[in-house]
Amino acid sequence: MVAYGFFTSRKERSRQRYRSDKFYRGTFTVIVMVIVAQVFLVAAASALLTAERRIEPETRALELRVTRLASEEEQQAALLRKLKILTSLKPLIEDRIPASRLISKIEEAFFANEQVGLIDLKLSNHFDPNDPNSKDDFTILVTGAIKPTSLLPTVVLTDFTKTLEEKLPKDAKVEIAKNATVQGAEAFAPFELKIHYLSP
Amino acid sequence: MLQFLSSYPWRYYLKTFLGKGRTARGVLLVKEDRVSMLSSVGGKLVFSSGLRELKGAPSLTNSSKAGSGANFRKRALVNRFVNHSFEWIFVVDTPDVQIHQIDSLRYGHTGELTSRRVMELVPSVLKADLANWELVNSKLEPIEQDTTPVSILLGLPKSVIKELEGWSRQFQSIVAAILPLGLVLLDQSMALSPTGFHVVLTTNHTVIALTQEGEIRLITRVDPIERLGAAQIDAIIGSFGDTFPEMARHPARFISSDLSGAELVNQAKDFSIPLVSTSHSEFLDLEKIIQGCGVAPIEAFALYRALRLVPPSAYQ
Repeated sequence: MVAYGFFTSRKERSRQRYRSDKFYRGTFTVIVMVIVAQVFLVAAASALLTAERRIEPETRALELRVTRLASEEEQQAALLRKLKILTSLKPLIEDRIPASRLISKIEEAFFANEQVGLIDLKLSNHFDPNDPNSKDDFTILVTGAIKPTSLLPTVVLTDFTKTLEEKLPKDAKVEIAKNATVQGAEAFAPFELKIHYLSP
Repeated sequence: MLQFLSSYPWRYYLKTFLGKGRTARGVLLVKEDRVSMLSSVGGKLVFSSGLRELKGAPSLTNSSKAGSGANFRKRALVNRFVNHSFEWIFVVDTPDVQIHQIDSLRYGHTGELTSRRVMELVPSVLKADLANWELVNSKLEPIEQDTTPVSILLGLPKSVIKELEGWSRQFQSIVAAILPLGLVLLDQSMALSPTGFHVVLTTNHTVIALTQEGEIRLITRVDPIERLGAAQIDAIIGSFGDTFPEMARHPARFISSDLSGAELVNQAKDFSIPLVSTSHSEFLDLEKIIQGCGVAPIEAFALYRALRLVPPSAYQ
């Protein structure tokens, strides 16, 4: 047997060696992978471009609509502001305890206690209708008198105050402005209560 | 960098990206007057002759003028799967083949076989620069394998090698070897008669060798018998016989792929020594293996021999 590659040129032998060279083949594999990756990249980019072109009219229409809506919103700004105020007032209105209910609760307390009588009731509210965050701030001045009994007027007034606190909302504060004391020859002992109620 | 890019076998890698596939082989005899081929078709060895007339057939000179190999591929290479994995073995007969016997002691073991080295070994060598050189030992094996006392220096024109490799490249195939026809026929003759004289007759050369137990003791190349004459060749054989009288007792074996059996017998009758003409009847086993060998049996058997002479590639 003669040698493989007998009388072949150096170029031909190199050609065969290169074919089996691991470095050459490895380089080729890397190049192929890079090219394939590029092909995938181009395919993905073209797909995106096609999709973008397809949805472009729709996007333009939506953008136009958004612009139109923005201008409409601008036109309705005053109304929207009012709506906002109303919306913020809604829980205040819904949860509000009206003055009439407070008064009726005070009346209930008087009815519950026969020894105590109502002379005068003054109610004022510091609510600011121009402030959306403003709340009901009631101050009620109750002037009453205690009928003469075997009990001390101060004790009766204390009991009455407790009854009143039970009837009124929890946040209401009842304080005695003028204690019940008999003055001179008067049969009734006058007193004054100050009730303060700030709506939550 | 340029060399890296020019020699980068990207087409081969592309085709073998998912697997190298099986390597197939074919042998082509390329002569000035004839082109024939032996290759496998559907698992059978098929011999085809008369291919020189086909456009794009391989040639020893000016293959570019012969046109592209498309026509040759369509007509001659059909069903032979000639592609990037195909290996060609070319058997050539050209007047410029050189055969020189040299003493292995003179050659030594080292050094590349450059044209300068060749001129040192054989001062009478012709056109050393224009040829590629190969050295084989007396068993026609690579000299590195076994350094025998006698070595044979063979020369083949670079232009022939370039032509054949260029022809093969158009099919992306590989050239496994290019063998001079004289060498192949001598190997075949030695297989039949390990000891004795061998007279190999080709169109361009007469190779005369004396072998002992399958090893060449003496070898020379002279002009073809038609030009030199039987008497001259007879005289050379006689001088060889004087050197090795004990081997000269064996009859000389004549072998030719060009001459028919009758023509060979006719040539042999002019010789003074006993002769044996190689006949196709000596290769009856091959007749069963090679389809179509009846047209030119010795030629077909020589191509089969060439197929066996070249080992598989070490790169695979």
